Amino acid sequence: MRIVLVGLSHKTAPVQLREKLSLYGRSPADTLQGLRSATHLDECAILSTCNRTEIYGLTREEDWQEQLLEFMARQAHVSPGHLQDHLYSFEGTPAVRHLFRVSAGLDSMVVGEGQILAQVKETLQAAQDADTAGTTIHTLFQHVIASGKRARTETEIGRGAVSISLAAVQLAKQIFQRLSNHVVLLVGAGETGEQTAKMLLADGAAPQILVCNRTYERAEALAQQFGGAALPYDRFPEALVRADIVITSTGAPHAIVTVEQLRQALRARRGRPLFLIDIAVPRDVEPAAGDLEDVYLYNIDDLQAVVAESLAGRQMEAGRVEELIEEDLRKFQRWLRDREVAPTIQQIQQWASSVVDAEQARLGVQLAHLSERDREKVEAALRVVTNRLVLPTILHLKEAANSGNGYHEVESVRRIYRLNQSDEAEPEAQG
Amino acid sequence: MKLEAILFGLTLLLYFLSSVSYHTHLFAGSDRARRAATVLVAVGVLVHTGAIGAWCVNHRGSSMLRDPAMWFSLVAYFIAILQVGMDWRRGWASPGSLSLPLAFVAQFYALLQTPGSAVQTPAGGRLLSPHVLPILLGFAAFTLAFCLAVIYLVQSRMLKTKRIGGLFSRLPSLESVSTGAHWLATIGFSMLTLGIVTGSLVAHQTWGPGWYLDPRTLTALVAWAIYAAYLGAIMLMGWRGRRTTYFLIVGYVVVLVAFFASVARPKSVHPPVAGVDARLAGALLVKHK
Repeated sequence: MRIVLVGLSHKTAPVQLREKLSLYGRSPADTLQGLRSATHLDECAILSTCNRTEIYGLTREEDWQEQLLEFMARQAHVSPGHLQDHLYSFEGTPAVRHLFRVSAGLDSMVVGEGQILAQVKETLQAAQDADTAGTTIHTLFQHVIASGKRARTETEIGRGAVSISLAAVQLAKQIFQRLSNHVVLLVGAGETGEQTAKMLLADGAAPQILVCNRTYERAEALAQQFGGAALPYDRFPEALVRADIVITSTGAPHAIVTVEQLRQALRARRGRPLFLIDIAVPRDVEPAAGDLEDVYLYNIDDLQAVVAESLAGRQMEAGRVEELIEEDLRKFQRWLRDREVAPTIQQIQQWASSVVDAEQARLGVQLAHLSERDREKVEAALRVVTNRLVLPTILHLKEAANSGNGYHEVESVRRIYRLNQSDEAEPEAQG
Repeated sequence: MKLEAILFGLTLLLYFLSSVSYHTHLFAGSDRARRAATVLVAVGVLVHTGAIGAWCVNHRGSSMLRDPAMWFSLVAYFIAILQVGMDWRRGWASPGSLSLPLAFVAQFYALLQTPGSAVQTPAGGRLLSPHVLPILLGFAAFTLAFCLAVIYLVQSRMLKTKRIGGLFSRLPSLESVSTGAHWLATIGFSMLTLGIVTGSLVAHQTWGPGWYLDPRTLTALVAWAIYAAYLGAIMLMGWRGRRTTYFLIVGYVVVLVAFFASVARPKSVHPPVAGVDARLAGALLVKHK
């Protein structure tokens, strides 16, 4: 039995195909049940995000790839031939390693993004709810989730902002304790400025947002959208005293926030920090404003540099995460190997013990003349002999498990000792 | 070796290891180091408590507040407790990279003292504890406030110069640093006020008129005035930001001078801070004339 994976992602398939396979709008339980009945997977889970759909399963079948391809083609309403060009499939350790990398964010469009970890958790939950996750899939996902968390806490793979808006929010949080206690002033109605204001609001920014635009109606519309207040364009210098975060994104050909205006505002602000986010090109804020005390001025290039630094930092951390994944992968494989050979070893030991018991019972009358102590010696000798006889087999199984060949050896040993006849073996998996 | 000496030595080691861990977290971004630092300093506080308890048992009948060597140990103890509190309540590890080395230095300095260097202070009676204890706690609070002020200035500089990689992301926000410093300075100021009031009562009884001309008393009053101005500027005038942090830095320098004033001026009515090893303190801070 082995762990298998078939899937597609943003790296292999266009969005038109990805959306056809997405679980969005479908019942995960029905899809999982349908998957299991259509493909004879013993256990299965489907990881479905906007960037990937991957099926993880546990199977004994040799033609699992064909089965899964047909199932996915039916789900996507496309021909298997068309889908095949965009699919990847792995079995055993590569399949497990792929899931570890996905969970850590190494396979994401933006390396280290954190949403994938929550989606992996949801995948496990859905499989449990649909009753398609057995011990192996459950334990695999538990290991993967723990590893994903570890990657984010022990490395900096998830640190830093990866967009202009996020960079602005991140900087605002480095200046202000709680964004909800501060007023945001949006000057101009540029798309990035609006996006940044949305991000600040989504992050719990000011209950009131002030919007200032040359066209007052547009300012009112935006203010209504943000639940804030509109200001006439000529009154924005006054707002510089009230607001702690100012986002400028006008199309003005010259600077609209001058050093002099800021000096006046700073006098009234009495040292309260002022964060100026100038996303406009040409710039809206005079560059010399950045030299004023308690003013932190970031223009579009500064924010882009923050993003580039974050992305570069994440790429640099990827190596550390790969090492960490290999460490966690080994732990999972150890568990899998133990699970693979342990029941068989236990059964061999029981078999050896039963041989001794049977022999003792057979010799019972013939040994009756011996003292209790001598009978114990005979029993001990019998046990030593049988244990020595089965020991090479046990060691061989353990070595085979360590070399990743446990599955085949277990089958051979079980045939030799006829263990399959006495009772059903527990499911074993190959990772 | 006495249990007391072993525990004080172990405390020193734990503060040192905690300092190293805080630095490793701050500069290398290791979360393991951060967790280790938090545990080490907490264990350090526990061991330090045991050491102080052992001291009390071994020196039954005498007060540790009469032993200037113990003052340093208590200052280290209070700094470590405040750091544990900040780490626990606010999740701030970065101030630990400044405060724990200072706690380590204070504890190290306390251990340098010759055993039995306790000085019979002129100030005595029931007012000794209400005078010395608040002063030492206030000193520790001002130390932490100073650390936060330094962090504020460093972080503000990094934001200005747009060097916001690695270390920067592990610092608390500017505003919360400022709030934390304000909170600590308020504690320090309250303690200093209490210490000055109780000290003046003792001094008036012991030395009579003219007691306030003592160099440490005068310097302490200057420090008190600086912190009063700081709190006034924030609460009455609404000041915020960098300008308030300058008060904390200048105030702390004056607090240090007040604490060591009797080394520079041995004729102080206060006892020397370092007992018979005042020479060492002098070498560290101000040269004897």
